Amino acid sequence: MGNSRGGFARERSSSTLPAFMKSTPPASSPISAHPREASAALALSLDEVRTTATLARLHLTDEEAGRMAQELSSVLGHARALASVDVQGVVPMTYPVAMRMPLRADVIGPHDDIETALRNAPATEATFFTVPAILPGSADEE
Amino acid sequence: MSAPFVGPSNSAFSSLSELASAVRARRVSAVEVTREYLARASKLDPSLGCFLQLLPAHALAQAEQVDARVAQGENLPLAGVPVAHKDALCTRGIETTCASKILQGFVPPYDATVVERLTRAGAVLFGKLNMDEFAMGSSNENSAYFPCKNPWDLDRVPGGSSGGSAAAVAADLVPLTLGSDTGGSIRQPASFCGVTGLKPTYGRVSRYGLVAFASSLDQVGPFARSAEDAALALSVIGGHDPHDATSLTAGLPEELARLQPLSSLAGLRIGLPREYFQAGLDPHIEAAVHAAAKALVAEGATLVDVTLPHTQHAVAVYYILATAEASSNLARFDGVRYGRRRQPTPAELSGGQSALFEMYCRTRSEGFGAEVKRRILLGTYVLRSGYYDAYYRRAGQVRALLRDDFARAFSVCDVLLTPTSPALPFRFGERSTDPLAMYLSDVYTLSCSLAGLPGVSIPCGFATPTDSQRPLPIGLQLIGPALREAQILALAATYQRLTDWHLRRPALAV
Repeated sequence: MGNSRGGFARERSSSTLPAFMKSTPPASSPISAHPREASAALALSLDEVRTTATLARLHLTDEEAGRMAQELSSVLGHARALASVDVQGVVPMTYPVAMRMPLRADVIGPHDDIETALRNAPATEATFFTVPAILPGSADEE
Repeated sequence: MSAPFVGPSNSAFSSLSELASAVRARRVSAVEVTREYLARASKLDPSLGCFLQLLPAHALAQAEQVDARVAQGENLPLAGVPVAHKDALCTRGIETTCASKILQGFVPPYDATVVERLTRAGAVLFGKLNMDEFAMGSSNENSAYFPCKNPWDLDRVPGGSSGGSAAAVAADLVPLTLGSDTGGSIRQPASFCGVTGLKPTYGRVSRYGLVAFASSLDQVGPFARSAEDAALALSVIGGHDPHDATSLTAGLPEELARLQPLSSLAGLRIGLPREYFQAGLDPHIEAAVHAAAKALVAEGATLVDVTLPHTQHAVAVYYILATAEASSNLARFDGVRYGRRRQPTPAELSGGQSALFEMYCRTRSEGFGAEVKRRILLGTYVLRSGYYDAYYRRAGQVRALLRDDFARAFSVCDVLLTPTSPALPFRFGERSTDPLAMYLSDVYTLSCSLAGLPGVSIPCGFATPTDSQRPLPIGLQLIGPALREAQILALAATYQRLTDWHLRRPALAV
């Protein structure tokens, strides 16, 4: 899979999906007007995938990055249809129900002791979680 | 119609409330019930893969406690009922992995509220159930440990992400399980495995102790044999929880604990959303769902043609919003406070980054599976500066339109009746090479989740497609307005009184 320039999803799914899922999104949509141009075939370029991976604190192999670019492009390609929806004046929905943030009484309740809280930590010292050196080039003291 | 559970061999029960009342009346002990089910689970599960952990000693010890509590006169609504939980629910002292390598070895210091409520009600915990890693998937193929199989055909997937929860009930390993549903993860596997699965209204059930995937969508719910059993479970696990600020304060209707089929459906308006019955829907499923609608009409209901015009955008909206939320929620898995840590080697620190940065990246890259990485990347991307308005904000706006579609539909009908999935259970590997095709198969369950509405999937028939030797279950979805779980479950119970699809069992060699 994955070597047919992102078109595989439509081909594979065409026989098993409801007709309305197959609509081709309009070409001149706001959503399509970005990194798509970076690559003729992909909505998401390899560079974009790598930058995004760094933001998400993930390392990708070249093979993984290539595959992700294909797969994410196919999903984002599908999402381009959202650009055709008239959302003028629509307030985005963030939660299904209107909620007021409840306040509790300002009273200390039961809570875990430090030992319990640290029990699952990969590395600890005294009453702290410990992490590797946080500055580049520092010796890792763990 | 009713038929006995597999249950203890010398005493059969047609419902969980019957089983619990037999234990309360000491006609059978919780230990006996536990032994009976444990024998079956130990024998069958190795070929099914429902359990990530089956805990016989823990279950027997808990059953003894239940018997002792019964002897002291405690009135336990689920006395002696074997339960098991999707491994996304924290269990104190019991490893909870979310079927991910990154949480291998994580032993929660507390019980999820739903786990605690079931224990308090006298249920007996059998173990932790298989799932798609971090609840991301529709086939259970994304478990980092081993696949769970569909008891109706071991070559096929049980659905997902709560695949183990559905398969365990279908195979009668336990009569009640909990799962979680973000975009269909209870209803779709319930459909694939031929059991009853309820996704309650958003906020109806506490999520304290549920490993978060997408916080504006996640909801915990039960799998059981019948609507009556699912209702009883909801009556125990539902309701406000001070530990979960998003849990609703509305009270649970009392009829949930003793749900009855409706004596007549006269006056009930059942909406059939036309977008859910278009080309691409498996004809076996379409026929079974229409037959079910007809059976309800014969009881007095009327059918209403309704439209949910933004349905075609549900997949895109869902996969933008859910992955955006997931990318944020899963940032906590960084190798610092719990789970596995992958320490970088000196050679790996040559890139000019800090050891901490390398530790984060290597821990996450090695700890997460491919689907989880894919969704974290997608979610991170759509939240990136410059893309936010085009993706996240717009998806939120279209989500509001989807919600409004339902509001309009419920002004002319009382409940919606749809297929749960456009396709029958598929074979392992059939869709796993194409993420978008897998995502699109969730089309009938996503909108209900996005709108925060309650939905239940119940079995409504079987089909033997040309490529299969075995009959495969078909699921029917009932969607109601917010907080109307009791109404959709009563309708489901009415259908289950008329039919016996929910009582059929896969042929499993015991």
